[in-house]
Formats: sequence, C-alpha cells, structure tokens
Amino acid sequence: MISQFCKDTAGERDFGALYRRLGYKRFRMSRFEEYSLYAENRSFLVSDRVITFNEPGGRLMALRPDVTLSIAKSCPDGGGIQKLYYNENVYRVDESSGEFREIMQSGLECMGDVDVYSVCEVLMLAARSLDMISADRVLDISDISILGAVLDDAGLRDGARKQALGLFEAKNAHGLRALYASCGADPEKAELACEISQMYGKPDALIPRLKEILPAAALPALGELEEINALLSEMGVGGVMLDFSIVNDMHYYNGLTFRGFVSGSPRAVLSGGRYDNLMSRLGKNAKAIGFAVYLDAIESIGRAPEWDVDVKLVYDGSVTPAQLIARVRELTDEGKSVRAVKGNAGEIRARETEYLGKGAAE
Amino acid sequence: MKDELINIALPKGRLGEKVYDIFEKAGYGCPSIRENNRKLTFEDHESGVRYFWVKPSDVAVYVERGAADVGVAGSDILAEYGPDVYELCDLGIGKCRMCVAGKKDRGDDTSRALRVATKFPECAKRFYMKKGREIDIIRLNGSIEIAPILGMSDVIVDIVETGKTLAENDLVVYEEIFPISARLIANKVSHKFKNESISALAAGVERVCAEK
Repeated sequence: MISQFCKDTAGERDFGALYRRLGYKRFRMSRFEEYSLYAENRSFLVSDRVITFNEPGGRLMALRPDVTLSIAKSCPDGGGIQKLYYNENVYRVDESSGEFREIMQSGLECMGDVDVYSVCEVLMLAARSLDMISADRVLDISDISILGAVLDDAGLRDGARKQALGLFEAKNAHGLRALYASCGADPEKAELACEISQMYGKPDALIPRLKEILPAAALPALGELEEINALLSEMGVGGVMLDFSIVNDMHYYNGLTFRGFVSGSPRAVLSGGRYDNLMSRLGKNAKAIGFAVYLDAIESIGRAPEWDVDVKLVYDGSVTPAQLIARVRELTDEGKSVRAVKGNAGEIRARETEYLGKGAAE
Repeated sequence: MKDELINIALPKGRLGEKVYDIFEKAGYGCPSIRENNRKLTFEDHESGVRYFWVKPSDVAVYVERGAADVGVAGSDILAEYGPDVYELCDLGIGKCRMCVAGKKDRGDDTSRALRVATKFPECAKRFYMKKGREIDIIRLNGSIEIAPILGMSDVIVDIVETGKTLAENDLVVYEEIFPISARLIANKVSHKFKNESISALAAGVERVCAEK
C-alpha cells in the first residue's frame, strides 16, 4: 500500500524527522554553484547538461543539478563525522522529453570518519525512507569493488571494463560472454561473470556461493558485505537483496552501492553509495556515504484519489458567515475535508454534498 | 491459475509472431492471441501472461516505463535509445546488420562533413565519433535508400537484412557497424517484484531458442 506521504507532503517533514532522530542536521545550500564544480566532475552527474548563466561579476554559474557535490565540497577536513540531510530542488534534463525539469530531492550524507556502524545506519535510514513510501519495497545492495576485482581477474581494462560494467548493469549475460571472447579472456571467467550478473536474492543465500567462486581479491569486500548484512539483521532491517546490476561510476564511488525500489514505480526511487573516491578528487581527507530519494519518481505511484474533498458544502445567500463558519468547523472537527461553495458553482469531486440555506439545493 | 500476470509487449508484425511462437513453446501460450479480432490485450491466467502488440520501436518504452514487465525489442532500438532495462536473452531471430551504405561509385570527399541520412542518429553519431569524422546528420523516418540516390546524403546508416533493396538501387554496404537480433528485455523494478516468474520465463525462452 502506498503511504499517504507521497500524496500530501513534499517529503521534507517526514524524511527530515526520520533523519533528525539519528542526529542528522539540515543542510541548506544555494541554488547556484560555480559551473567549474560540475565541469570538473561531469561524470558524477546523472546528466551532463547543466543550466548556466553569468553572474554580474562575470563568473559562470550553474543552477545546481546535484546536491552531493555541494555538500561534499563543504565538508571540513580533520577528524570527526558530519551527518547532514537536505531537501532541495535540483535542475536536470528529463531523459524522455529532453527538457530541463526542477526536481525535489531529499537525502542525507555522512562524511568524515565513516565506520561500519555509520554505513549500517545510512542503510537503515534508506530502508526506513523506503518504508515511508511503500510497504512493498526492496533495498538492493552491491559492492562495486567486487565487480572491479572480477574484471581485474579477467584482465579487462579501460574501454572493455566500462563496457563490462554496462553489461552487468543490464544483466546482459550474452553480451558479457561476447565481450570476454572479443578480449581473449578465459571462457571460464566469462561464465563466472555471467553467473554473478544473474544473481539476485537475499545476501544470506548468495554469499556462500560467492565465497566459492569469487577471486581472492574480492573476498575482503565480500566479508564487509557479510558483516553489514548481519548488522542490518540485528537492526531489524529486512527486504535487503544482493544484486550486482547496481553499478556506479568507479571514478567517484567505491565499495558499497545501493538502490531502493517500490512496487508501482518503474524506476529506482532511492540511490546511494560510498563515495570516498569523490572526496579524494575534491581534495578531502574523508570517507563518505549517502543517498538521495527521488521525489519525482514517487509522484506517479498509486492511483489518483477518487475524491478532491470529503464534503462539498453548498450554501446560498440566506446563510450567514457565522452559520457557515460553525458548520465548516463541525465537519473539519470530524476529520473531514470541506470545500464551501456558494450556489453549487465550480467543478469538484466530493464524497458527499451537503446543502446549507433555503434555496441552495435548487 | 496464476494470480499475478506477467505483462508482455510484443513487436507487431512478422517478428512478433515468431516471438510469440517461442513464448508459446516455452509454456506461455495464450490461444486468444491467434483469434482474428480487434482486441488490444490478450490474457491467459493458466500461463500467467498478458500480451499486447505495440509498434516495434515502442516496445522498449513500454518496458522501461513499467507498462510491460518484459518485451522483445531489436538490439538496434536498444542501441539507439539506450533504455534503462535488463537485457535477459538474445533470441537469435530477426537477425540483420546496422550498416553504412551508399552509391557504388562514390568517392569520399574527406575535406567536408559527411552527410549521413538515417533513422538511427545516435548509432551514426557514436560510430563516426569513434572515427573522428565530422558528420551532418539527416534524420529520416523511412525510405532512407533514396537519400544518396537523389544526392541528399553521401551515405546512409540503416538496417540491412538481405541487401536486396540496396542492390536493386545500385547501392552497396561500405561497413557493418554491429549485428542485430531480437532481445528479451525486462523492466528493472518488475524483475525485482516478479523475480521468480520473470526468471522462469527468461529461462524458458532461452531454452527454446537454444533448441532451435
């Protein structure tokens, strides 16, 4: 069942309350950033098209297409940990229409001395965020460094490596087989890649098999996944699945990566991961993990409400304002939504219609 | 009787009929689809499937948007539009090639941008970008072969099946860009929430294709 949340609120109140309970502070930021931030980190962005303009001083600015970069660059160096959440608009090109859209995005970032507890806390908050959207949800996790080790083991580099990650993302086993063959890679290693690409299930069920088949270089990352999975169970977080089609750009992301899906939305509604590599590219001596909830993806979930209001209160000139106020208050006190309309004017779908005054019914 | 149906988008036309035959052999038959009527969707609760016919180039849109859980689309369409879907199996049918073709006697004038007529602008752009060649894309929706004959383009980037149309118009294939065949694709979210049934369907389809 779809939570009423997505129908009634923009998300800030609900998600913010959830994140604040675990000590995350709201981070407000400017709509504008210097364009150079995005130009230097182009492939971190979902789309490389950015709305730019010159500010009066001549600097080339951009309407923010992404939140994480803005928060990450403001992370102070040194010890400790920053836990921040946001609820901000971003400006991106819609893939299907090719037009720019203003998209509301909520999310959080945990930066600094990130340890296994912080990672599990972020995953737990991701799962709880999904729970607020729908009870019918899954949180898929993966580890990009495991795929990195598998590709290293087969000797796939540069372009072939990028192509292989795209094929993992599409669960395209026949494509992986063809790519490995064209690179002259060991056919047994191709079959291993195919098997991994098709895996989907609870971590407990898949990890034993992965231990048997993964190259030694992937085992430390698998061990971390196993530990995270055990801690999530302790935290009471269910609905977590292992899926190696969850792939992010390895120049920015490392280690754990995850996506959230709810039944009824045709695409991921939440996306996140470890981005220590981005921090290091930004010159920060810090680790980081975070996620974003795509509120535009939630908008289309569920059916449109059958009614606009519970009660359409039709009144005429014989009704005094005081009488009208009293009746509206009675109805709203009963928990009903009310629209008062004079003379039955206007189109509105109401569960029931009530007439007030002598001639209103006619 | 299966409660939750798998929604399947089939490409209209001869290819779609071949695809349905494969699905039927894999145990996902729906006899009503063979009836001659104007119905748009066809359900079979025993097999647990709901089929609908759509324009071949729209199959990927229906699947990406989740209106269909799975569908069958040509790898040309997948390469052109790059939908965010899973590609579960190569059916090995509808085989043809994406090619660069043009007039037999054309000399290549490398001092200016190459004029390329095509229905597949993204495929053409990617191909020539790798070669570092500047191109002028002429987007057409059909009868691509006529463009070089009338001198509107230097070459075409298009699908070649037998090469008969090209030969009859004194055109030849210069280069093959990539081979094409029909692929079973799945919506990523459907694949998670209907994982067992979609995985079983994909395995069945793959088995039938391998037996052919």
